[in-house]
Amino acid sequence: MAEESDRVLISRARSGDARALEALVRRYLRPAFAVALAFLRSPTDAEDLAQEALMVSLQRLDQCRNPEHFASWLLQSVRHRAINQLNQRKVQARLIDGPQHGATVEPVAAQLDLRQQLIAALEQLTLVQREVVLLHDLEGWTHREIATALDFSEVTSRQTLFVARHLLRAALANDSQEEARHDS
Amino acid sequence: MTHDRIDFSPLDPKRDPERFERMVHQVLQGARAATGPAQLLLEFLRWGRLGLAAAALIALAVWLPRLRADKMQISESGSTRGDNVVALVSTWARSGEVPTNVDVIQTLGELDGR
Repeated sequence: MAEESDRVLISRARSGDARALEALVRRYLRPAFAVALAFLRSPTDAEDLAQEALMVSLQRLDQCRNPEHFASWLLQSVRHRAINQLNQRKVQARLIDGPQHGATVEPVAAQLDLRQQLIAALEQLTLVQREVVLLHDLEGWTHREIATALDFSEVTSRQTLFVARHLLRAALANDSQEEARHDS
Repeated sequence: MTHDRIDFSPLDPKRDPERFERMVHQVLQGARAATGPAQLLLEFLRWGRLGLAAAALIALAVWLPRLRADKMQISESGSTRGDNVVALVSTWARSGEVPTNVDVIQTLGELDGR
């Protein structure tokens, strides 16, 4: 069965259709998580933020003027929330005046598991590179979808993905070498 | 190959289906909690407003003809009273009868509508 468009789902959700609401949650929870992770670099924080942003966006569906651009509208909300959270972290860190609290990445240890390795490797990328590579490789969005949601061209999306993957592979290879050295 | 996907499955929230379902459920619960009653209230207000407008229209439709009828009645009774006064004063004039002060005051009072 063909997937229903955002416009149809949003229209049904607005009129109180619980199934449409659920379909929207299932469709957009992971993309919201991907963008949140690109900013926060902490899966747990990203999950919380994605849930919160999606929940609030669904509560305010009436304010989404163009349902066809729901993805863009939602991800913009995720970004704003993520930026606010990062700013709060900075303020807290300044107030505590100690080592960075709420640091997003665990210190590189010899026995980094794959999850931590990926997060550490993502650190090497710019914010946009992280957004693109996560939306493409984690969520499986097309370049067209990414370009629409993040408001740039498909060519930019392709180029950004190419560079991001290259940097990630290099960072992951370095981690593996360090791990091998530590083991021997 | 550089063009191959990076395997982000260790970071994928769907990696743990139970946990992912809990996340979906929490979002749905939060979205419904805020939209459900609010939407009902909005519907109620929307219909309430319509009902109020309809009631106002009905009241106006009933009240306007009554108001007009009352006005006509008042103007009719006013002219009758005026006619009576004129007739009485003419009678006095014709007969040369001098009305008492009480009669004059009563007659003028009637003319005044009191």
